Amino acid sequence: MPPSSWAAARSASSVRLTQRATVYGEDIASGLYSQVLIRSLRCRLISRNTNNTGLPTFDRAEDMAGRDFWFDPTAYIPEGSQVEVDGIRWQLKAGTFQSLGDCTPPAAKMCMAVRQQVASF
Amino acid sequence: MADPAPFNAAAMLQYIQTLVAGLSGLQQTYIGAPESIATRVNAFVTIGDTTPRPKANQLAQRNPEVMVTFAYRVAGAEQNAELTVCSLVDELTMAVYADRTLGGTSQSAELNMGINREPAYMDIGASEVRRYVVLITGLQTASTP
Repeated sequence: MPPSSWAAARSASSVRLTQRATVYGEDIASGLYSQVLIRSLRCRLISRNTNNTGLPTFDRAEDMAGRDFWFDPTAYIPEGSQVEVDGIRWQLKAGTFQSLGDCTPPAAKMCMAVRQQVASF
Repeated sequence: MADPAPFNAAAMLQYIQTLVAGLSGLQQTYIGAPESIATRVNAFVTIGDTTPRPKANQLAQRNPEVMVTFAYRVAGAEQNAELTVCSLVDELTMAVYADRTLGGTSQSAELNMGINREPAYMDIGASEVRRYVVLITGLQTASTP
């Protein structure tokens, strides 16, 4: 699913990148996302579930855990990477990366992110 | 045929989880379907049908099902995913046939992979995975009032 239309339509300049992320790549041997690719990436996680149509009817907790991940437009993040923001891991969904704005570098970059499970709540 | 095994779904599930965790090349094994996966090569073990039936006076039987789902995070490596799944399936098959009592938790276990005729891919926590399901069916017997 592409990033939500409301978010895509949001003015790029209105999103302040006030959070910081560590970007992780996969360690081939272990399969874990343990290779640090970028530290202190300027970013912002924005909830995708802000409609006013009533209660959502998702099946599981992870379906509520989708966010739009806006990040520093000068940065390059490989698709399929994970990011950690405030101690929480998020999987960046391949195929949802967008550059916004008709300029170089783009005014903003964003993609869809899904929270990763912790061992137990 | 081996001695009857009592109704104990958890024991069969946990035995199979231990069996699966020992497969070479597997990086993470879960009991229950995870919301996301931590590694590239994963498996999760879940309980299926456990419907009982009367066997005789004061005797019931059932064929409990345990599903082993292999989940390989593809990330563009479809060939590696397919070949790894092949190895895991072969190894699990031999492990089950080495002890069809599943450590005494089943009288006789059978394998069924017929659900996998079409290649299946799924999304787990925003990661695309190749999914392959192995259905292990046991036989358990219980005395009833």
